[in-house]
Amino acid sequence: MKRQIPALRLRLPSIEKKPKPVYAARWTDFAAVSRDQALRSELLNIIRGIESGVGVPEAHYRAGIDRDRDDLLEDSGIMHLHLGGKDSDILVFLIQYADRVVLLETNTHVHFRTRPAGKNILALSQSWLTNLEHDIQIAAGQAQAAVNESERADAEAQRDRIAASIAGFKRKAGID
Amino acid sequence: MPQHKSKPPSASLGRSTVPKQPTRIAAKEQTIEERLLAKAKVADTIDVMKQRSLGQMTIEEQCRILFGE
Repeated sequence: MKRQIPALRLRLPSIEKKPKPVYAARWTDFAAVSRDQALRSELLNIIRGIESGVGVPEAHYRAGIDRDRDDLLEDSGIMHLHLGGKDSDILVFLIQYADRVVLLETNTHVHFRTRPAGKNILALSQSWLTNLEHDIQIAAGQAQAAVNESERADAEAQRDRIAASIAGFKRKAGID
Repeated sequence: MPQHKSKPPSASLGRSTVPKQPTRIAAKEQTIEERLLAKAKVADTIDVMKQRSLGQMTIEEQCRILFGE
């Protein structure tokens, strides 16, 4: 059975070039990146790039980004970046939302070998992610309601201006 | 007239006579503890949502979160 993936997880092949805060709520370093100074620097650099809006350097995206399907991204909304080169087996798994990025874990390609892909990613079975996405959804709903209200108020003001203008024209023209 | 005291059935069978009441209390206390743990977990997930982003932290704080040091 296919899992329900919240629409708010973006499924873009790359990180958007606009500033997004990066969170590591329940981060686990399964790939032991912490033991390698070069990989640690790469990870910190990726975070800086996302937070500043510069984006992530091309070297961290997978090799077949333009031609291959990424099952994990398309089915579960989980993106991965490579540390140590495009073909490396050290990956950072994350979720990109419109307004933030959440880091999940480092690992190898192990999550691509399960069916469905990524079914053993810890975060997918943990309550914090469900709660976070619920929170994002509520915030998005509130923001949309505020926009709708603002648009409605603008439309009413515009209608009143037009009505006043027509009334003025009629007065000048001696109509009524 | 001397009062007749009946032995509990378990004693007559040679079993230990562990009072049942404390067992029930222990089970109840465990449930409360579990509930408290569950509450703590909920509070924890709410804290996750309120945490600062990595970019708002110092390098030392980032390293503590990402690399456990």
